[in-house]
Amino acid sequence: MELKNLSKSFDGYQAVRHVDLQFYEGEIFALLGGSGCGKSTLLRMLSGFELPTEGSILFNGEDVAKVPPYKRPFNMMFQSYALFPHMTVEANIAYGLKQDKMKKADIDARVNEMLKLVHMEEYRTRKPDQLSGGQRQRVALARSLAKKPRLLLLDEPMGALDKKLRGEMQLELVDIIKQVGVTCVMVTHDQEEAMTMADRIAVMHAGEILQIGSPHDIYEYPNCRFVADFIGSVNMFDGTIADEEPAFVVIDVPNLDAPIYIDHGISGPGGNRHVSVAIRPEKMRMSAEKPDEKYNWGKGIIDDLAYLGQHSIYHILLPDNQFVQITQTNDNRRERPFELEQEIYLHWTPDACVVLEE
Amino acid sequence: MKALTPTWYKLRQSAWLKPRNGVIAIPYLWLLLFFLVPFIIVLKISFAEAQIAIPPYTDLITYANDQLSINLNLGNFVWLFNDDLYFSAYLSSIRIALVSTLLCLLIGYPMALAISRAPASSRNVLLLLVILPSWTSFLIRIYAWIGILKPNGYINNALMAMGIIDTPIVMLHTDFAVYVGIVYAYLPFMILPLYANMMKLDHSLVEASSDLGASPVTTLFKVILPLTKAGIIAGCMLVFIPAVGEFVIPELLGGPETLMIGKILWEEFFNNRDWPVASAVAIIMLALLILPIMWFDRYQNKQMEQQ
Repeated sequence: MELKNLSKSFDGYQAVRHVDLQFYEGEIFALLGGSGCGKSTLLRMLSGFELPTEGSILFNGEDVAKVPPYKRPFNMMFQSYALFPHMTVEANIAYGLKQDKMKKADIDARVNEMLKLVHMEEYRTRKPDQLSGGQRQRVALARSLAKKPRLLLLDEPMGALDKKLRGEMQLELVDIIKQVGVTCVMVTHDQEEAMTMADRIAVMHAGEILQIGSPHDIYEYPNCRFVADFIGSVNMFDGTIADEEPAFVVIDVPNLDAPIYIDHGISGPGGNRHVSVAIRPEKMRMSAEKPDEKYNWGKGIIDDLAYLGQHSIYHILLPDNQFVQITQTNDNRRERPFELEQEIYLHWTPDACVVLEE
Repeated sequence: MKALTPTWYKLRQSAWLKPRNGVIAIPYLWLLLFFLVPFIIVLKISFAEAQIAIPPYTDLITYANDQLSINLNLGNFVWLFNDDLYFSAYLSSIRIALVSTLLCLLIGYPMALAISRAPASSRNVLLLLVILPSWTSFLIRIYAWIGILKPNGYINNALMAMGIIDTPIVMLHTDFAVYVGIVYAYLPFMILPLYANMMKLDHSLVEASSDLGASPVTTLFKVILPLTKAGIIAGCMLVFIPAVGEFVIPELLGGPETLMIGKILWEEFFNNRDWPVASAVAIIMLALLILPIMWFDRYQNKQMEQQ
């Protein structure tokens, strides 16, 4: 399954720009991005509800971009589930099978199999409005899997569920999808959901794919400021390269008291000496005493402190009004290590930093 | 000391005088005044006997010689059942109304679907085009059809100019013209409830059907039609009920063989001045129409219960 140079414009506005993508057999692939980034349009082109302006969708080497949705071997689970309100759970699941002119006995067998898969056997004769949100989602999943699609499309799968149910359903959904072994493309704006469910994530912004990688890659090695910012929280330091060697880099940052030292070479900004350094909040440490190091520390004042139980979030004010976020695990019951307005030193290890281009 | 509740306060607390009931009372009062009272008057006349006087019917209750007598004359109804004319007029009215309703549905359903699927910007314009003709007088619009359908009217002239026909087709004063008139006049009443119903239809259901392998035709019959059932029924009621009693269209466009109960009613009232028989005709027509209305009401209640 491959997308080549796929573009879509609406009245001159380019919603999706020249996307190249490959899906691997049996993986769960997440398209992650804010609203209006083109992720839904991309999904609707895959399902056939939108015609691409340009480019092709190759499935087994065949371009299916212009094939109408009812002739594609792909099935979609809609954000609102789109269960037929006038049909029972059974009839909803059987709907797609009936279109294939399957024998009644085969349809019944397949419906039973699907009901069992999603643990909804007792609800077979109910109508959708007699089901809870989570149950509806199971039926919607069963319906979209009933035809053994070659590609399962999920549109904001947890969008219609309340927060508590989401966590449970995310894992259960992954369980069922992996059990069936279907290749799955999902669209979501929730990074936590993407990271929990997907094997690979593509971060989209303004119609383009910025980075594709495993959840770990995208979090630890973002390739640009947008991705670093979009996935989790991050502290950015703007600076200039003071010393660049194949084995290490030293970056001067005006807001920090010591330069940043990175223990590997960077092959990025050729000639561009202005760079950003991204450090995740949980990879920074605080101390009351000045670190005995030449590099990688700075001085600041605790401006705000949020105690969240398992960890605390500190907002540190640096010179030039820059704020830095630090999270610390509360592994000691009695002590409150730092107080508001306290002057502290923040420091980190050389491998915590990611250098990003402007 | 026991606190005394003022009378006016008790009055205000009583269910009848709550503001909410006041709001409901106005339409009920309206119906009472302009539907129930006339209905009772018509019912009363239908049991009277015709006479040449003003008013042209006898009183039901007379008091003479210390005797209060109530004379219920069932002769009018017996007359209706004995004369074939009325029975075939009812039947013919219902047939014409049914066929017209079906035609309205066949024409109106695709139109309503197209309007509801049109881009939001053009939807209002399209809807306006449906309603716009109603801004002209109903009578004038039906008269206009005479000019279109008559032997030297626009259609015949155009067909003859193109050489398709030599002699004019007789269209005016036939049942065909009545169908044209009714379908034309009542089409908006079919389209509007259908459109309102279709706008509520979640488009993702249509997409889901397509996604699951259903062709557009299958989607129409398996998903869109069942889910717009309420709109279909409402539209059909709005066309069928007035069409049964339609008078102007068969009078102007229909021929001598067009038998509709509205025409009979007119003739009994104004040509024969037989008010009691005319009232009996009206009462029976109402009884016939109440059946589908009651059925629709029950269907709606069932729908409400499900939600």
